[in-house]
Amino acid sequence: MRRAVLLPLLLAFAAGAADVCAPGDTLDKYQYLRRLSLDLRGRVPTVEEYEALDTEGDVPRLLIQTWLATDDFRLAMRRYHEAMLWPNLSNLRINDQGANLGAAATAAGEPIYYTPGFRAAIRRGGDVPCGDFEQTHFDPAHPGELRPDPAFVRTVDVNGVTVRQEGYRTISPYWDLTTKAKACAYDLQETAQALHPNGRTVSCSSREADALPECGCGRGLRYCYGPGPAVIPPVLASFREQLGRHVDDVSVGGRPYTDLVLSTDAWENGPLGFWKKNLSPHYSLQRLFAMPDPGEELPERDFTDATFVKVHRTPLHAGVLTLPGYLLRFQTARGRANRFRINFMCNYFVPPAHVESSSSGQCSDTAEDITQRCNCRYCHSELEPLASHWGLFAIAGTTQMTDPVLFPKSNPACLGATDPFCARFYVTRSDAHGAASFLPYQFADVHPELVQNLEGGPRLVARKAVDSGEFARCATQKLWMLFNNAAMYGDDAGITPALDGIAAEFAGEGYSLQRLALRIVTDPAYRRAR
Amino acid sequence: MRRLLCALLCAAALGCQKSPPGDGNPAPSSRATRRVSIEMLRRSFPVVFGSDLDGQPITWTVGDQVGFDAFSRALGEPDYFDVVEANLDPSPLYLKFLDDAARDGCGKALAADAARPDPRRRALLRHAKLSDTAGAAIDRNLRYLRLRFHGIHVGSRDDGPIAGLRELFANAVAANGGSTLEGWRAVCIALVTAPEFSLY
Repeated sequence: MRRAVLLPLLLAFAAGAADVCAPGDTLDKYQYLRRLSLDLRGRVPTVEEYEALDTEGDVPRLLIQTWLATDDFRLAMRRYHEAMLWPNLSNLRINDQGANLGAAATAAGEPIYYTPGFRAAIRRGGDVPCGDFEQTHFDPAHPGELRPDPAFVRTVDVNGVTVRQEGYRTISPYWDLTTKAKACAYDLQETAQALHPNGRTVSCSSREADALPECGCGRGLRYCYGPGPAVIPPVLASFREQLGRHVDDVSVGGRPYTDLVLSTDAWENGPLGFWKKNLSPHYSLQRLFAMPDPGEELPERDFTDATFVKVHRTPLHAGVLTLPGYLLRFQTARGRANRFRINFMCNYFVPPAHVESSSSGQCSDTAEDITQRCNCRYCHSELEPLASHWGLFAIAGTTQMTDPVLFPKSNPACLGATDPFCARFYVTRSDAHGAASFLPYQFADVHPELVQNLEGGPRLVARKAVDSGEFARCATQKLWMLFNNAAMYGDDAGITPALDGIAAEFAGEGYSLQRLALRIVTDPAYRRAR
Repeated sequence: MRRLLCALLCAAALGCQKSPPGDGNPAPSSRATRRVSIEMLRRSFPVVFGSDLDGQPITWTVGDQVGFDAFSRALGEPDYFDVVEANLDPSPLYLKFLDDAARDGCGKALAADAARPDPRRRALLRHAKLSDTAGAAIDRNLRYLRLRFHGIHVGSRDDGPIAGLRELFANAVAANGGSTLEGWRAVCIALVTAPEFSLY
């Protein structure tokens, strides 16, 4: 039917149909079922579900409880938490330039993977790939490491430069174990550790190993980033799924809602476990700093293994608050703290009503300490102590910076230094407050409370919020808002008897999100017709 | 269209009044009406339209893409990158897309129903045949559709909630040379584009 014919007919129907503005007392059981289904399952009921109510006095409570255990509810809760945690990390660049594989080509046009640039130059004497021949002889002085035998590495002239060229080997790359691919033999060396000129023995998966010709990308090229579409998207998607699974645990998995901010477990699949163990040690000082935490459990996983299993994290971790999906979405300590405050304490920073001036004597326009600076202090006097809970988790990264050797609280060698490590983690200016301090501790001398916050981590602030009841109240308030599309008492936040009551029930019943949802959707307010 | 939009906006604005106190404490605010999200539409279309003859759930498609995915951004669905909050305004743009989706979904569902001899397997024509032009079968089917699409139960003696649809059906049939298929198409589109479908 053409639109021109149908439109007037539809308009005539619409004019007479909508009695949606008429307020009623309570929804009938069919409308109540529809509301419940959309809120708890994210879809309308089937006609059979409506018809099943014909013989029921009301929507059975058991039916609601059943829906609260369904996969639909799990998905609805994922959507709800996604709106809190914004888990889109698709713009992240997790790979560091020095560990990216490039591809040369055989005479037949087949790719040969290798690491170009600096690493190629130190291995071959020039930024060139290996030769188009198979490497069959390996250095017997290093058994099991598959280092090309120098006697079988050819010397050739490329554009006037004399370089050493080994051959290729054929392997199954970690990102697709079902295929065979060619890679340069130097890049396929399986040496695990090597002695760095600085005197330390370093892992060949680390960034320091870039300068060591005996280090390669390891078995199956595991220490290097393969073709972007094959490696990076699965890792980024897994960050999101990892967060989602944490939410599943507290929505339908039987875990208390407090696990969302307190659990030290994490779900990990092949891409995540593999990335963490093999690829993240090649950290970047210019981009993401995501090397493994000290003492982190690093089980051996195939990159292509999609199965998620639980791993234990170190005690400083706190539910979703320290998962990569959170730390990399909110990349600064302040951003992480602010998001926590919004999501789990239901508090928002608002600008002050009046502009402050140093003439009041209460603040300074030039204070280096932002909690003392006029106007800034309005928010920062609260935000800075809160943010310090995330201070030991790398900004623009995930790493827990608690290794005292790598991150001493004071590092005089960084004074005046311009290297990327000092510039990123230390106060390098000698005239700055806390010169040479590890940045999270810069103001610890004048704010001793920061030290406790830093060392307690996000768990400490999450625990405080749970113990004070603030967490339960906020969770109740937010879920009420989700289902009722209205604050419990409109804008009158001071009146909270019902909120207190429901939040106390929520805490008393083991922080069960399902029970809280049941409580809210069976409240008369939920069922009142518009 | 303007009246339809008005009804949506009007409904969306209601529901915020406090109820009178019962036990001395103020009662919590009533639930406010809300528009369904795009995700809810994506998941509800197969529920109301059923499956096509190949057994595939019926949804809105544009070319070879699901319309709700293809126009996700325009329809205000958050991607949590640039957009972090769902736009649930019952805007003219939303109504325009819903109209497109309704026409597409209704057409597919009717085509599938027309080819199914067993009425129990039909999504839209469960209680009426295409040869029925008026009478009890039409009314029974309209009652069924009000329940299927809107969750509104219309008793056998209650004509009010289906009167408008009955008139729409009759007018659409008359305007299309007696084609009951077009009559049901008009009813189906009206049901999807009605405020009762989008608001809950």
